[in-house]
Amino acid sequence: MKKIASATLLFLLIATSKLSGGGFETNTKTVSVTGMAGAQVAVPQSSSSAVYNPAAIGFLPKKMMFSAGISGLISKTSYFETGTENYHSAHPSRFLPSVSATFQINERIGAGLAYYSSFGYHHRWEDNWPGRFVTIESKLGIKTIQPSVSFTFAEMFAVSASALIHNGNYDHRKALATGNNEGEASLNGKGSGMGFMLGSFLKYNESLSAGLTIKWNGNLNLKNSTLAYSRIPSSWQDLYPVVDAFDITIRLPYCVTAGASITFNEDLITTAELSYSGWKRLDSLYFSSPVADGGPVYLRLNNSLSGRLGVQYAFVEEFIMKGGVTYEVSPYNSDHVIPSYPDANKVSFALGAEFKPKPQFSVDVAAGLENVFERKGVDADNYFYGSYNSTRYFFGAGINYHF
Amino acid sequence: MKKILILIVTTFALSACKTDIEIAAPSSGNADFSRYVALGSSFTAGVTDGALFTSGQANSFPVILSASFADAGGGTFKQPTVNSTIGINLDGNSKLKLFYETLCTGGKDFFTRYEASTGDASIFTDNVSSLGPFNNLGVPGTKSFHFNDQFYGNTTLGNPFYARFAKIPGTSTLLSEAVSVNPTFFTLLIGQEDIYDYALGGGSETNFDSITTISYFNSNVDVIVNTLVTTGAKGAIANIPDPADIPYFTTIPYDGLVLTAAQATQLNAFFALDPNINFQEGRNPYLLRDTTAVSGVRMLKETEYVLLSASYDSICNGYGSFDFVNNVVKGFRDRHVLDEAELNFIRGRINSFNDKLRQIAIANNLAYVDLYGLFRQLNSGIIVSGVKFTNKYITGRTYSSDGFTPTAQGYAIITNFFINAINATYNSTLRSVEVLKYPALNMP
Repeated sequence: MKKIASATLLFLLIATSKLSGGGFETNTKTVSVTGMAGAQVAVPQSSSSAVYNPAAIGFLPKKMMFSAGISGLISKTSYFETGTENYHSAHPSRFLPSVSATFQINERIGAGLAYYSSFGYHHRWEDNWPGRFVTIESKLGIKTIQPSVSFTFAEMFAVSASALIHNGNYDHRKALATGNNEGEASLNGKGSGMGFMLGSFLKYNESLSAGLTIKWNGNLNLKNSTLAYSRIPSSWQDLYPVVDAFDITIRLPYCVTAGASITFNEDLITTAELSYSGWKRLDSLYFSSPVADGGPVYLRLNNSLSGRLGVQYAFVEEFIMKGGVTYEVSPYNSDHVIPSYPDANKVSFALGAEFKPKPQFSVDVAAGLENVFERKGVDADNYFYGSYNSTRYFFGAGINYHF
Repeated sequence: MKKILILIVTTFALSACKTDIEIAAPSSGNADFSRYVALGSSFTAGVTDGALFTSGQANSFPVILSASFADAGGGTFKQPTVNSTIGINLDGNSKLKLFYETLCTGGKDFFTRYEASTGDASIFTDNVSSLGPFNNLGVPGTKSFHFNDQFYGNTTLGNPFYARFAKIPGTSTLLSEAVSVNPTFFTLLIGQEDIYDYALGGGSETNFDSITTISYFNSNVDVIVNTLVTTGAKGAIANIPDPADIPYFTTIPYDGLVLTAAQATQLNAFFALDPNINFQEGRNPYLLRDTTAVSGVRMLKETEYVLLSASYDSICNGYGSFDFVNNVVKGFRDRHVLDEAELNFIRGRINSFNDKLRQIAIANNLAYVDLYGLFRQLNSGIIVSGVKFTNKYITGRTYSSDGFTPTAQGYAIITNFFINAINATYNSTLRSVEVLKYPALNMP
């Protein structure tokens, strides 16, 4: 079995170069699963099932489970001007809290509730970098509340339905070429949206289980967004009137995830899953009214796949090690690399550990890195050329409690 | 299990290594940029905002180009530097300053005034010939027949911009100065002054000046190019843009005369005997003095251009229309307008000149830089790193306040056009210049 697990890991490292997925969907939704690279759709183990596959709630080891944690993301994105050795970098950081709880109401019905960061990114470049007229700072953050109910048909099969209640904000700031005194444009929007998720879980036997989820994230509607300008010379101010109370629609991707897990014995669990993400829905950001130097912002995304592998091993009952790997090929088109989110194929590795000082209480820690491979290209709308690569470090700590 | 963990940790560690992005080294390909000379007129000299001054000259397109050459074996590039913030032009005026103020029409718009009452004439007396030889031989006002004209550097009869750095004033020529550098590479912008000295003056009002004949232009080009390539130099030749793509000719609309219904009625009564003049409420064509017309003026046609020299100050004083207070017709003088005949004449010469320039570039395996195409492309705009450059006056970002010469960023765009043509011709890998790091306009 160990050979199979090793081979599977290598397969994901090498063969998943044909997979794609990712985009700016958050991979660190809960800390307890971060250590397994977010591969959890087929693993009924913690209250994180309320996030990844609520259909598994009926198969969790405890009736009531609760988790809370916080993850941190530190990124470094490097930009190299085409044909020069000039180098610029962005160093944003983000902190993402998460809470999840599950409750088995009776033998058939379970409920879950989770709060987590579902999508987001943040890139903050130097004010005078060459791409300042495209973006200086771009930030998207979407938090999701996910109430769920699960229904177990038999001892081995369950389904679930969840509501996805999104709340998010989008901020974008860039310079304006208004002569030698450059102006600045700042776009800000806050809003909400709704989606749903359907899940199913099959526990074939004590060793093998599988899960399937279909997530329709819907749209994030940023109401009453504003586009404000500053430092505009008086002679240009007529060209840049402040625009407010317009709407931006961000069409979030749908996602279908299928996974399987193998429990070799009480100590070793491995899981693998594939996700197909409908990023093509988000081909652009739509603005409800025309704005100078505004939208729509064309993203030209493709639908994509991603693959994840997770493994955990209990050295002793009180100490569990976790590991995982994810590979994603960017949904961003290869001929349209935008500096506000210079995405590329990426691989991430995670390690985690769970300590159980008491039978009902455990502490999770996780850390990892995501390596976004070099991408050389052009922002096809702005004719901004260059090469990018990014490294993101993530870490987190959380607690788990069950009744 | 331990093997799995070791594998994960090892891969984790390896992936943390930063990927170095390889930068292709610039190369000269089949060309040699070690001794570069630039021949031309205003654009080559670095004229901007209507005059030659220190900071404008520092961002002339040959300077920008030589910086790219420097990464591919290029040598030093020396200019006959002027030391003046206000500069001067051949008319003795200083550079222009941009204003944005309320016009007589009630709206606001851009217009210019000279930054000083006169240009800095010390530039012409500051002889720098001892600092030569120079690589930038761009001299404002230089026409095709001036390059090999020994009197062009004469201190009293010649062009003062050349006389101040001519090696032997009255004897040496711009072409001989170029050859003395033993150039390995040259750029040549020729014919612009032949065309635009005429066009910027509104054409043939006095017949004092006209456009160089095709045969004379061709023979001048032959002499210049053949002399340069005989030295073994390779080079790039640029063609000539069309006035339709330059804001000096297109900013003031032909039909900018806005009338009330009462004014239209009053004018129609005044011009009742002229069947070719009919005004209406709203926008109307400006009037142009025309001795052949019944009333001595005629309405402009859609295809004709009012030049930027017909400033809003003049228009606000009634020029191009009618002085309602004194009941006097104030048609534009021909020097403020390019009419159909003049435009046809100009375009015929541009086509012929450009044909010649293309042919001689091909015959000598020289890079041919399509400035005509670049300037035309500016109608729809060229986006550079998120900034749109067009040929719209001021807000188009490409042209300086004089509406004819580019800003430093405009010169950088032109430089990249040269680089693209040179790379394509000589298999070189010159680096494009970063347009947006160069100065833009000082906006009011």
